Amino acid sequence: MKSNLFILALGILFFQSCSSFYFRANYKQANDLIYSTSRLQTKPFLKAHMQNGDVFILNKNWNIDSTQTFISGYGTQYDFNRKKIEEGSFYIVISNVALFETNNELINPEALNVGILSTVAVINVAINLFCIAQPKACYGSCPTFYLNENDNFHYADAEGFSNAIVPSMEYSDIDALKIVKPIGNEFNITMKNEALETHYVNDVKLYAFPVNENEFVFHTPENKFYLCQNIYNLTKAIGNEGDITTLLTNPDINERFSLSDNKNLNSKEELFFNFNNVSDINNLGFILNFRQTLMTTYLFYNSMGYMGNEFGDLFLKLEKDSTLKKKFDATTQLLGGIDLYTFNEKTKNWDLENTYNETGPIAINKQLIALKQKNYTSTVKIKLVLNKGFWRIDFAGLTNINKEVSPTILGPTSLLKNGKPNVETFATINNDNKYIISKPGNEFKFGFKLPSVDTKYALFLYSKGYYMEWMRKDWLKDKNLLKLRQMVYKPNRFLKREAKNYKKYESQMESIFWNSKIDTKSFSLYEK
Amino acid sequence: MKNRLITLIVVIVSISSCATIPNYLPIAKNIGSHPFGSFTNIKTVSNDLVSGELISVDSSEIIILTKVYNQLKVVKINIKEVKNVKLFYAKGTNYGWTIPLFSLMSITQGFFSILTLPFNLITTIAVTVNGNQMYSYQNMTVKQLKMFARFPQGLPSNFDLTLIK
Repeated sequence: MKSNLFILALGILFFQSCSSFYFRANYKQANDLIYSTSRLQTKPFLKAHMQNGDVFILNKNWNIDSTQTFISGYGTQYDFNRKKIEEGSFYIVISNVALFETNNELINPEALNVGILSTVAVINVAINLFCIAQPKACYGSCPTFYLNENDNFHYADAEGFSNAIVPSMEYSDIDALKIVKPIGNEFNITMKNEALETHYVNDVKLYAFPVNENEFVFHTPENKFYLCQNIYNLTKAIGNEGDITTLLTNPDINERFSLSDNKNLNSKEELFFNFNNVSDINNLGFILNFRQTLMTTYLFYNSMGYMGNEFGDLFLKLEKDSTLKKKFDATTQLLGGIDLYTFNEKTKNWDLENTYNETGPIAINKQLIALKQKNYTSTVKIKLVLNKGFWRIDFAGLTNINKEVSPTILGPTSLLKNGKPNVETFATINNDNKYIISKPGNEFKFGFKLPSVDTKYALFLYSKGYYMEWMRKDWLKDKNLLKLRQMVYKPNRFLKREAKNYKKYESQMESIFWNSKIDTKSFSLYEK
Repeated sequence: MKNRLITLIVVIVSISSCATIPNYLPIAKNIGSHPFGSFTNIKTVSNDLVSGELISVDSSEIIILTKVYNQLKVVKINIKEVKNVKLFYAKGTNYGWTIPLFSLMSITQGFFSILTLPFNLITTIAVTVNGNQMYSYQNMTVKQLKMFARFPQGLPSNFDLTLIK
């Protein structure tokens, strides 16, 4: 008990005369300094703060004599202004020392920062190497349109004329936007160039249809517009992988897609849909929200790579030779669209209704096919036949078509280029013979005035033009005219032989890119 | 958007490269042999900021050697007037260069840049800020603060503060 009290008293005394904070310790008594540093294999630098304000900084071989009268060592003496007085061996009388100071060496103080930066560097280098090895995987195509100018391509509302890769292939494209009830009658849409391409935009218009509550307007692959009501949700959807109903019940960008066949890219699959309890089986239309996977981008960029340094000549040939133009996308023609079949209860056969086909992996297309077949019970059975790994489907539903409708066509009333009004560009967009030229990074904000203020509108975007893909230096080494020839003239053989290569690309790209969404923005047919 | 991003990067690089930590501080491995006091930012209750070398601390006042219009001046601050203290005992490491470098790496990543650019910006800004502030303490007691002064033992008796440089 007595000895415990003694140790406690010693401890209290020690902590009163010695204070430490992280790496630094101060000692008023030489005894404490000896006690504290006696077990250290390497002594720290010692600072002896003198009563007159000078300081001696002794390097690691200092010693205190056995009588604790003086301290000896090699170091430097500084005055109170820290001006160096002398460097050499010193014998310092301890009674003149006001305070001793030691500092422990900081061990790897930068380890955390260096660790984080190294990890980030490794990730970046890996992605850069991937982009060098697979540049076709890292870049997009065609102009993208956004209702919210701050969105990125994950949330693109439309993409224009994806197939128009040379001037003579220019065409117009219509994409469904949302049903909106804007504040006032102003409506804006932003067009961005987010790829290494030059876009030549001849026209941008807005197609507006006034709608009442619970009315919708859908457009068909033939660009007809139908006023519809009632949305019937899927009862059951089956794919090769099993039940896919939940993936297709809501338009939530939670999409169903399959991976390509590893032996032949040209391999079909079937999806079966049941709609039970359809209350009105007259004038049915099938709605599908869909987009392509990155297979199209891969094939297109491969074809450019195969052209190598003859890219310019071959594109000129493509521009002039209408036969070649028809055959150039032979592979994507073979992969085909999404064929829609309905089950005929009388003949017990599947009847082909029509085909969805819209190029582009970025914006989701929302299209309707008016069903011709009338022999249903209250259960409507639908079959989709599509190429494996080529399509992503977000939503499938049935609706009742009321009538075909025509749009009010609106031209832009204002235009901002990269955030600033641009009179010249505005004049260009209103002139059918001129083109807005959009380079990578350009943003054009088109303003429209809707016909009336307090009306809901179903809106569609009309865009017309073409784009020129930029050849990348990295692609030149891929030149292979035989492969290009095979792609154009023997697409079936090409798709078989390319299956393995695409699998490597697909497994990396599809999983990394699309699954790496930061969050899933839900959206509906109505703007929230 | 692009312009805003470039502006943001320029601002961040400027901020990170003009941090107010002075050159007289040692690098981290030399803290044991550095004869001066630590650099201190003191915010007073009247929201004045006094920055400079910590000369001495006692129970009633903190003495700072500060620079006013390029002239060195000793300032005494009553302990009761102190709102907070931030102390830098070594030079931070400037990682500001990583912000443009990693942003450039993102720009060459095509589609991926939409994810990697914000990720790279957030991590490099965080590392840069952390690097600048790394060798610093806040919310110290008077006793702890005293240990980082030029005179941790207190001012020598009859000391003329006007002689301090």
